[in-house]
Amino acid sequence: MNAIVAGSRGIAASPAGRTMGIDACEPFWLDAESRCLYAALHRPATADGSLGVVFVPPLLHEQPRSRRFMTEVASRLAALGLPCLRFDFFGTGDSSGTGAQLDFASMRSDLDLAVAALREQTGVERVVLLVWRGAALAMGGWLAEGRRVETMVLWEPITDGSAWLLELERADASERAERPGYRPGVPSTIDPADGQLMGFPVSQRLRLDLAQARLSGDTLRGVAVWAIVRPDGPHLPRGITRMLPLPQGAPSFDGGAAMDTTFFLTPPVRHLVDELGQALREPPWR
Amino acid sequence: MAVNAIIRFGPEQRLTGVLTGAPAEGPILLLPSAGLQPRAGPFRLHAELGERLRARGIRSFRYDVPGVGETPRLNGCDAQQATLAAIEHLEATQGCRSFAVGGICSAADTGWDVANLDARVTAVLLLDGLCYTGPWYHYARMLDRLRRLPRHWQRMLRSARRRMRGTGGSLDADAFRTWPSHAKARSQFAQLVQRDVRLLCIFSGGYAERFMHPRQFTWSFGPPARDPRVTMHFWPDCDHTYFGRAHRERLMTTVEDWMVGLAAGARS
Repeated sequence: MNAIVAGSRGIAASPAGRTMGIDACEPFWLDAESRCLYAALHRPATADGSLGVVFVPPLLHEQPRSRRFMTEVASRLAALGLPCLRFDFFGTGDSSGTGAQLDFASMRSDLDLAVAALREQTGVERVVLLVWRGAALAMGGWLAEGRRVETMVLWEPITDGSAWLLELERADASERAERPGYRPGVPSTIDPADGQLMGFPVSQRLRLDLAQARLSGDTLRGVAVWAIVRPDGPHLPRGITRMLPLPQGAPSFDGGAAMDTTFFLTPPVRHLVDELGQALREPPWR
Repeated sequence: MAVNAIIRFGPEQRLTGVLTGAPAEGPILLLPSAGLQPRAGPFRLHAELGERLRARGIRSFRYDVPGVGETPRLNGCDAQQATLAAIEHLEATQGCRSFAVGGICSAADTGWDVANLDARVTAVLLLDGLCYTGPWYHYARMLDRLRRLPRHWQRMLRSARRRMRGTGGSLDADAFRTWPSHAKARSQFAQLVQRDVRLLCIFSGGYAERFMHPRQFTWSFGPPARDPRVTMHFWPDCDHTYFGRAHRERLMTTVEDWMVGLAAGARS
């Protein structure tokens, strides 16, 4: 297992060093006639055309709060010469549909569209998936259907779907209890059985998918898997070929569903993203 | 045109929004991003509201203001400028003539500011928007404190300590708000009503640091607050971002009905 430590290799001379904000991206619809999924392509100024990255977004409340962060990461990787495609799953973000229509099967279909669009629009031969948090739980099924990418990078992956679901249910109950907070004479009208989790509709199918999913070496067989994790993060399955530790103080996905819990690309994490970009460009990947 | 269209506008086309619905009579609803939430809105409120309005033949346009979501910070372009740019663009390219603008929190403030600058804004949606504390607020606050049991006083004390330490994690309303003085706001409110602008003002229970009593509204804005062009609701059971599904449904139904009424008014 190789460890890439943020700051171990400088890339001050890279184009990314001059790009501190968000570069322009090309928004478009995936499958505009039917599923109408929102996507945005970050095209590098110069690229060798061989490798591109598809961002697989996190789920529920973690998706909106990390949107800017993911945009900044995509912008950064594009500045390093890697075309990046972000998209919203059906029923999430700016895509069509409702949250109740989201499950692992729909996520797999959406990912197929995103990977195909990146190849078609940029001509890249090799695709890397940058998979955030709970979305990692759906990747086993996608691979089991015979899909292949060169590398899958898991960003703080959820490894145990059942435990995560319990955690979400506890956090959801806490959010409901605090919103809007007790006020004498004002009865609570929030329905604890409204089918939502952390403010988003969740189908029984998705709950079942999450409860049954577990990230293991077996489910990720056949693809090079890297992981970006906190040093004190959860135990990861075998088969992770490269570990990239998140720096101290990196923005955390914990923090509830409050309106002000968006996070941004901080300088230490930006350095880590630069390291990731460089590592992806360097063969061999495994 | 497709049901949903991605529109790029503003300085160097660096602003992006999603236009939902087909051309129709009546104002289009502009939904700038609120606080740090991306343009889909808190818990996808804007995306879902857009779909409901589309089904009623009403257009909406949601977009990230500079520094939020996908939009970079842009020199000389804040939420107000971005909204004015959206109005210019939608008028020039989509034939939109009148606009309803607003949303939750800072988006409400943007709606207020732009309505006071641009006569094409004919309606304003203020969700936990501009309001001023005064006798009714302090009366309601005192009543609230007195009616609480001692165990709630302890909780309030703990909460106050957390706020003082800056670890409360709750929304600091001041972080996103830029309000005129009370006198200026009163004058602006009266001018908007005189200009035949329609206002939908809804205050939630998650806004208790600013609004606690329905009579506070009339105290804040004077007699024009009772004008039929102004609609005010106080929903103390809802939180600031409408976390509960039923609360969000109530909000969307209310906004939808209001927009349908505006469209009907435009046709007659």
